[in-house]
Amino acid sequence: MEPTREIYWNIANYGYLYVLLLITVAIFSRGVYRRYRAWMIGQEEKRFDQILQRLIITLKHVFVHIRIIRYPYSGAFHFLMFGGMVLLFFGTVVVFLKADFGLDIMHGGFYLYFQSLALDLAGVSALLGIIMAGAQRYVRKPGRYRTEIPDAVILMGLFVLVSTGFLIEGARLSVIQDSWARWSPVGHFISGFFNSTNADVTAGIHRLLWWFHLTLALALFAYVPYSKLFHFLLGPLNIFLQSMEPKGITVKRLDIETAEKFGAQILPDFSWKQLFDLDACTECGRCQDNCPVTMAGKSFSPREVILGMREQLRGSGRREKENDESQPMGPLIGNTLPEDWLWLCRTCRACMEECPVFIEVIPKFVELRRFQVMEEADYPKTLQAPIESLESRGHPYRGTTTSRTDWLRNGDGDTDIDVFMLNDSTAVDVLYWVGCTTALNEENMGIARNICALLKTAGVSFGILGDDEFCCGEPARRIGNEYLFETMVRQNMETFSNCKFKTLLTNCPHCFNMFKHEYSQFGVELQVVHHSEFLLKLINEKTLNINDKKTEMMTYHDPCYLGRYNDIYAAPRDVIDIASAGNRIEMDRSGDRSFCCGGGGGGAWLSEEGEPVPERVNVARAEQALATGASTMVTACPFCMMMMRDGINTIDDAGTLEVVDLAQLIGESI
Amino acid sequence: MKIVVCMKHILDPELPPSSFEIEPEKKQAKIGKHAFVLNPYDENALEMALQLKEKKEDVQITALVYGETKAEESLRRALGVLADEAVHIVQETEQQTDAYGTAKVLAACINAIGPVDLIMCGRMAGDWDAGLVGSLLAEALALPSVCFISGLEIIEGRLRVSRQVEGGTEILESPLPVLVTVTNDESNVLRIAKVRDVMKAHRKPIQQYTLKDLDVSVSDLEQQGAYEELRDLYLPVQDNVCEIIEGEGPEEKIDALLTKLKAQKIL
Amino acid sequence: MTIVNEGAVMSEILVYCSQKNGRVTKAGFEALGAAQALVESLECAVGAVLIGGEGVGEHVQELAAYGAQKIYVCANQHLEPYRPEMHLHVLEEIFNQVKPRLLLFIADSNGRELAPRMAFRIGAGIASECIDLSVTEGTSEVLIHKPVYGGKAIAQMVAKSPQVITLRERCFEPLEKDDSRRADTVPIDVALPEISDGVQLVEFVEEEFTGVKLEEAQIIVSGGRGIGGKDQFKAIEELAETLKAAVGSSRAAVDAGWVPPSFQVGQTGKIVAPDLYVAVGISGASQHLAGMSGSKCIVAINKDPDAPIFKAAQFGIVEDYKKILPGLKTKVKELLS
Repeated sequence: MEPTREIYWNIANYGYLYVLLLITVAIFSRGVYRRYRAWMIGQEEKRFDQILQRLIITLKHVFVHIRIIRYPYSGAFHFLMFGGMVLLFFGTVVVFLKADFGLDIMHGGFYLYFQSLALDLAGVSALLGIIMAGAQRYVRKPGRYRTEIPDAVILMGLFVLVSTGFLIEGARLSVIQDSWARWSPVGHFISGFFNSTNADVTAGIHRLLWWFHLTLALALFAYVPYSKLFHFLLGPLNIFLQSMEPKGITVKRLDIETAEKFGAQILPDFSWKQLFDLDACTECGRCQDNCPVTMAGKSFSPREVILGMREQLRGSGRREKENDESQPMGPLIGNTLPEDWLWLCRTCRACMEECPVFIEVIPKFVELRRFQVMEEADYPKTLQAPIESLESRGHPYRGTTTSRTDWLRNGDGDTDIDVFMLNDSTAVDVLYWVGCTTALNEENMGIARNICALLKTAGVSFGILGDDEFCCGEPARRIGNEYLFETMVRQNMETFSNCKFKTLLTNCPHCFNMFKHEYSQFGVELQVVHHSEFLLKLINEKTLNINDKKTEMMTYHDPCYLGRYNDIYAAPRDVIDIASAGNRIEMDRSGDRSFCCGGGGGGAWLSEEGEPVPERVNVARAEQALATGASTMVTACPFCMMMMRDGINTIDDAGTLEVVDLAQLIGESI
Repeated sequence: MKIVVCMKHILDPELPPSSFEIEPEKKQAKIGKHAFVLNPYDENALEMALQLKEKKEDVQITALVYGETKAEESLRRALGVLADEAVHIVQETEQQTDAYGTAKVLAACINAIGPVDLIMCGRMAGDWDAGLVGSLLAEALALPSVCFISGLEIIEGRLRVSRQVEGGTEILESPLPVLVTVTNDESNVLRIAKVRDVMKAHRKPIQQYTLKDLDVSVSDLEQQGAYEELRDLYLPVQDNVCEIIEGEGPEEKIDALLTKLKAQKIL
Repeated sequence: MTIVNEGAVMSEILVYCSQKNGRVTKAGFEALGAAQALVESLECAVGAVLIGGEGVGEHVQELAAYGAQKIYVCANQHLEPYRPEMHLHVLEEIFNQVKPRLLLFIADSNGRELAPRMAFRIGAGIASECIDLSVTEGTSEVLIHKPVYGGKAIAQMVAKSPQVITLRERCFEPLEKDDSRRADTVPIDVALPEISDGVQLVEFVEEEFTGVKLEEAQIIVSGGRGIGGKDQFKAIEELAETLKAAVGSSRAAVDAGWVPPSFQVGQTGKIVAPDLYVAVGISGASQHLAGMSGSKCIVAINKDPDAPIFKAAQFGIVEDYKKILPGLKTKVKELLS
């Protein structure tokens, strides 16, 4: 006789199954439809291009758990549960095919290896995962978890579901005593406990358990669209729907001429995908665990932003507010979202890099900012200053008394550094784009001087724009004035068309990201390189030779716009290692888990009035740097330079830690 | 109620000192590619006018500029924050005008515009730092004036202002029409324009007058013998090197410092 | 618009004397001093103008002591309280009588208001905010120097005849007070116009001394991290009080809770451009400099010789501020009284 088992053995009137199934499908569909209706109040957005690539990415993330395993314990139990449930699901599909379509593959070797052995192991895996998950939620209790009754219901429900599955198997095996029982080791083990019971009683228990198991399974399934369980569908879907643009394309363009509304004020102003994001959230809290603002101790949290918007989408207010405006169509700012939260986001991307379901947090902030800035002209005074300065003067540093070319005058005030000023006739290989933050801030000017000296030593053909340089526009876009941003892009496009160069070199990751990615939204294609990469290239080509190796202990701080946005982690480290005697130590939070200096997203202009020192993002990072015991902190971004100098000065009275830029480090080593 | 806000489009007062240069023959600041902005005190005046408009019905604000073509940027700015009208008196590029001349031109235009209830000017322009045009304009129009106001109200058709003076604040009253010059205060920082309004502002018409339209001739601008005669314009000699005050002890250093400050006419 | 007969001998320089509480202010004496400095080269006399209520003539001797050779007094109960129209009327009358070469005002609030209107009425040249007056060698040409472009440049203008000039405070030296000096007092009797309506003072609100507005202050004393504590910050406040200055701070002091946020000077605080900025215990980060580098004169007091503030300052004292401030306060008090 062929290895197999009888479906519906011992189950009379299994027809009722279909009634229950129908009810389940109805409840499930209603749930899904309700969510769907909510997403569809949003605007259009195209996310169904490049289907094959999307599929591949989704399968990778789902089956390899790339992001989930960033938290190893969670990654482990989730994989166990996921693996187990997926296999068990396939097992159910096999039965379903046989039962309803007469397609029988449930026999022979397949039955033994898959349907019996593999599924038993899957069940064990699932149970193990569930137990580990329970321990995580109720014993280890990570701070980022929010535990409510439905969590217990789901865990218990799944546990009971899988356990009853084994019990049912055990009962059946006990009564049938089939010869392949050992292929289902757990079931076989359990059948031992039933052997002492009368076969009729066991059969009765089996029947009871079978219906219970079925009902529970269907109940859980029906519960899916009303609970966190929905994530097993929405998560992979959200991964599938992710933006296929490079990370550096931070936000979509705004059609200023035709847009009826600039940015987002109420939920329908967002696209359906941004609303879909809200339901994909599993409340895991990894975003806030890595958010520098949250970690510095503020009451702000990216998860709370997403969940707040979700609550509003579902029509109930998360906060107890009497006014009508917590209805789905009411404004978000000031109701679901405290107003000051809007400006705290540094756009550092830690949340988005961490989120296992690829929720797009930052674009939501930017859309909300666009509305506040462009439609309402209502935003913090200290952020108005850079905008006003950009409009009148072409740089965001209101109150600076330096001109863009002051850094050319060597520190002593007398000798000018001789650098070629680009014009429309002579071609050079490299345009060294200095950037506002480097040129107009005293403490950063040394970076530009060092880079020029290094480029000269290496014999690179380069030039600068000098006073013709105009801000790349990044602060305007981050703060939300896309109109101003576009005028700045056009200004720079004109500047570029008037000079001849092959590559744009910059030491500022914000400018770097702008020119490399965001300007392409306007049809500007440039070859762009960051000074860390360029210096490494020169060193490797032997046009720059390091003579003096640094011996002090160093640590490297990854700038967000170089690291997370552009995945450039190795080049700066390689440069430091070449210039030092191998005495570099990593901070706890480094690489793609680097902790923002607080300067991005308008952060460099945020007022610190009323902000306790420990709650400052740059101070929090300074503490992390000091904890390494290093005497030098190397960074590769002028914003980081400013913010970290400031943060360190605030708490490091003894002056133990110095901040330098990569260029200065190399400059001193040549 | 009709308000005219007189504005000047000037070289950015926040231009970094190292970028500031003089053209000695022309006795003018070098313009080059430097930014030009709306005179900050005129911004304050505009803001006060706008606040008045919000509180009262039937207030019409006309922004008025005497300047070259690029001065229209300031007019667009005024329209962007919702001034009702913009008027540009065209200044020929090579035409130098002193305070008297400017006052004359503005007076002619205001008379052409029609009966005005309130004229508002910034207390001075951030380029020439003279602070004369407002008062001269009041004389030219035979109007009373109050200078350096920081608060303004219209109560029953009369003006009530608060004015910063040495030692305190004066509250003054005046019938309309009257001219005021405005100084900066935390309450009159010019509002940020909404982008949509800025976009509309670019499409609004600007009324233009030439000197000919106003019946003012170039010779009229020279107030006979009183025309401002500029002999020279130069950069003050400045050494950015800090003088570290030496001394045997704190007492000596203090004395030395005070002597130097007195010599510099700061104390 | 008449032009004064240029050949007039013993022309006069008229000085409108600003008053407070019935006494001529120090600024008034500065103006007299400015006029006195031209007496020799221009061969003219200095006439002080006093316009006010009935008791205004009481202190004429003081004006003589500070160099006035003639004192034109117009005392009338209707001239109190100050109304610009009235003073202009009297001034015009005096001008027509005296026909001075120059008419000087101090650039205080009243002077700045009166001067241009006066100039318009008498057809004189007008120059404001003058910081220096000179006479071209061998001629009677008067040159007026004034700062322009926020102090980035100096304009030199030729005085017309007649010329109205407003003088910036603290730029001119009063003469040494000499009580033996005598002056002729010329009473002026003018029919005052009936002004039924016009600009009227309704109320004067005296300011509490701590209210010197940071953005408008001509002198600011500012403290930073180096101050060390809330109590220690009082030293800054006391020095400021003596200098009649506003109190400012760097961000560090605000963070530490020593001063309210409104005191903060800097890129995300207030942007100031006083005549004198005294930075005490401030390191001079560029964000702070951005807020005050427009100051005409910066004095830095810091015990760290490498502090960046010294690059921006004109004068620096490398010393613990605790050793400097008390003595400085005392000496300043002496100087200004």
